[in-house]
Amino acid sequence: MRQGSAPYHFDSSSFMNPVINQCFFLTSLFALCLSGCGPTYPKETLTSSLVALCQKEYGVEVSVQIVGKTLAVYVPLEKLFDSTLRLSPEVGEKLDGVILATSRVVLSTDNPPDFYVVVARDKRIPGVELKLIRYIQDIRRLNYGDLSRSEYTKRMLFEFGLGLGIFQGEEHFHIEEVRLGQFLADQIAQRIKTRIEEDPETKKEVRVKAARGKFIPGDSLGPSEEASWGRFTFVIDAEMEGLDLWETLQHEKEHEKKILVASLEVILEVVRGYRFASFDGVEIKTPFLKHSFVLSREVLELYRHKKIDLSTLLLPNDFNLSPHDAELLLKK
Amino acid sequence: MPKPTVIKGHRMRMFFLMHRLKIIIITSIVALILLSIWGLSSLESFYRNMTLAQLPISVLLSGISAAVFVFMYLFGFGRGLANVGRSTIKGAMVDVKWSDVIGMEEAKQEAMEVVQLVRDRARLKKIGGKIVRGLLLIGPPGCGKTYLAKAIATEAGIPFISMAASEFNEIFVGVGASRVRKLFGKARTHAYGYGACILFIDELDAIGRTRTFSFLGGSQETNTTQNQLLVEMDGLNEKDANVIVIGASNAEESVLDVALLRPGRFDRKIYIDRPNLEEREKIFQYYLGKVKYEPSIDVGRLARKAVYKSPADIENIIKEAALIATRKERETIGYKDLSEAMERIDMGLKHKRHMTETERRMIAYHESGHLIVLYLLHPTDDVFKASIISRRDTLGVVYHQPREELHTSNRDRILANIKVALAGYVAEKFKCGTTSDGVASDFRNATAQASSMVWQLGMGEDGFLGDYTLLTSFRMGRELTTDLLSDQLKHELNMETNRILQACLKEVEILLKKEDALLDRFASELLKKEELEYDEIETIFAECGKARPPIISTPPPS
Repeated sequence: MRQGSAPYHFDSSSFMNPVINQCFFLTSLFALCLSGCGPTYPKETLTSSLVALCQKEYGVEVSVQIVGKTLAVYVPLEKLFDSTLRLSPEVGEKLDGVILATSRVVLSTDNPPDFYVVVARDKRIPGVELKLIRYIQDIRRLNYGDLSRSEYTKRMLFEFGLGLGIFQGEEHFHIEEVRLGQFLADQIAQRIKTRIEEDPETKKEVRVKAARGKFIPGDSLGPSEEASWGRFTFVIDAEMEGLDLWETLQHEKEHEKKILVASLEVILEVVRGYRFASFDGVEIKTPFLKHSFVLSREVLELYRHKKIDLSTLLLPNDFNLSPHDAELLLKK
Repeated sequence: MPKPTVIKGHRMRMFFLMHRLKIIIITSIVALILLSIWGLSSLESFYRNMTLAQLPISVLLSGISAAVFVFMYLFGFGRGLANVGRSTIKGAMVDVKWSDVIGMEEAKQEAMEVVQLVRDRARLKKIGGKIVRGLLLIGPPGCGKTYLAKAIATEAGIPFISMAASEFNEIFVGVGASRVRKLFGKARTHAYGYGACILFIDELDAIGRTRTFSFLGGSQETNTTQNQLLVEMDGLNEKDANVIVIGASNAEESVLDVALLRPGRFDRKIYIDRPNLEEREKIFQYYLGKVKYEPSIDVGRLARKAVYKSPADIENIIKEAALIATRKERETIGYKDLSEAMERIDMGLKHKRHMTETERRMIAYHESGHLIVLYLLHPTDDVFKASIISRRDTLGVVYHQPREELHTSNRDRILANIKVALAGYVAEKFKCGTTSDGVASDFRNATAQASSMVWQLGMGEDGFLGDYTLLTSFRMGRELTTDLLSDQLKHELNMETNRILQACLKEVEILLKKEDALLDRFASELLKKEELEYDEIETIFAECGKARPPIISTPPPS
């Protein structure tokens, strides 16, 4: 017997599909609208927003300044340090809150700065300051999962001391704009110090008293025939510990080599980590070296690619610039 | 053809009832989306953008997880144990009008009455009457029960849900009952919206057989399913929905449980029997109309030949004939193709065995004996074909059918059957001087009929009346220890049986002796041609001056 087509068919899909489609269309549209919404902290109200946020969420009064592409936050706190000048845990939490709030604000604004600096000061002890510098791009990369937490920690600059030159007068808050070159120089110096101190082979015999880095921009190098970006200069002030004179003389060369290897590794790590190529060369000064150890960026690259080794670099040859060439580069 | 219309004011609620699961899911999804949007909007722009950026990959991962889950669900757990499934609703398949229903006029009339009752349900309710709850279509297979149910659904203009009763059965106890509940739930929802709904349960005997109760307690799964069906049809339900259940079964009415057949459940029964001669002609004409056939085909003769055939059988004959004609590379179907198709279906494919000439000769005489006695002595049957080609387990056959479908057999017809059965034996004895074991089935047939005449039907000549089989140790299908018949009586009954067989034998012997030339002629024709068709048989009889008056048949459709 024959089969036929339908006189009746309650097809739910004919009724349901438009409803489903509409629902999904509307929600998708809404989501799209949301994704196109503006920043939470527009640049016009950036400073006031941060002040209000710190006040509202952490009960901390802060002062905020924008200097060029740097956001500076001054946090005066009661009882920030105890009698031994150690950070008080309770107040430290408030400081953490301010740092977090600053990160949130700089991430959700339409014209983010490159750096932020948080300066904390104990109201009772004028002159003792705590300074933290962060590169905004590092915070972003941490959130994207592009940086490990330990690497992120290494990338922030932390300074504690007397008279960091932030205050002119008692409460006049002034800070200089942070530039990437100098930020990297400071970071490299900080990392070199940590690396040498933590190296199991050197930490018992070598003590790094101070490591300082400086980025001298090309403009500051004086007139030159060629255009230049600038150079890094690192001064690593180290001394031998627990060794008599004979032993010191015996190990001096060896330690010098280790310090240089650590320094070069850190420099390469950092400049590559930041994809920073706007420099001409690097100068390293240690008390063990008779003269400055100066390398051009190209030679540094050769070293990175293991085309030359450190022993070769230490010889007075083409790679380790002769005093004359070094003088030229330094002048440059 | 009326189209189902939703009752005013019921649309929204019906929609909710039918799609509550979908509505709940969609509402939940929309609520979740709105909550997500609310959550997103409360995030700072950096975190919001970051979340939105991760959204596509999250959606993709969720989609993959969902796909894996669905795959495992479908292939690991089936569609859920108690799931009725979408395939059960066959509204899309229904488009059968009354005019399409042919070959079951009486059943059609009854069905039309039911449709009228369904249509006038409002009026019926006003009077206080109850609409038909259940309709049982009983009849042999292939007679169009499902087809009639579809016609009822189409003409009544209400939704039609169909399910085979076997689909209720599962190895897990309680699943059948659960499926019945779900199916009726669906039907009630449709009935709520459209005023009524037809629920068609095919092969009802799968769950409708008389229930069995074990003295050990517990019950069979089919009992539970049937109990649920009984409750759903006329039990304690919270609301009275107009669900009309149509059941179809090939089984005898007595096979079905009495509780199913009582008023309030299947209170109407429509018997759909095999078509009669006139209906068969119509069916042949209907199906022949769909193929190319030779106009000379005598549809009346085809209809006569197809006695006791169902519409499905007839459709199958035409299909088979079309295949045969195609194989023979002909454009149209001829009578021979139809005849061959019918034999193929009834007797199986020809299977030529290698036989000796002696064997072939014996078979030819055997079949010629049947043929002559059948043609000359049988009061009701026509010979349509004689063959000595082996098919299945037979070595030869004389194909005969009553001219009309007969529902009773009189003494003459039974005696003629006995004579026809014995004719093969007589012909072998006369012409070959011996007999073969080919007579075994003929004798079984003849003895059974003769015995039945004497023991059960009072057709003997020595005055025994009544059904003596009831008094033997085997009666009512059971073996009893007591036998109420004396040996003497048994002897006399058996003697009378034998007397009938002997009388028939004698008559056949006389006839075949008399028609010796005819016997030789048919045997030689069969040996030569192997098969003789109706027309050839008629011609030979006519040539020998033995032709019977021709049977007037309906001319084929132009």
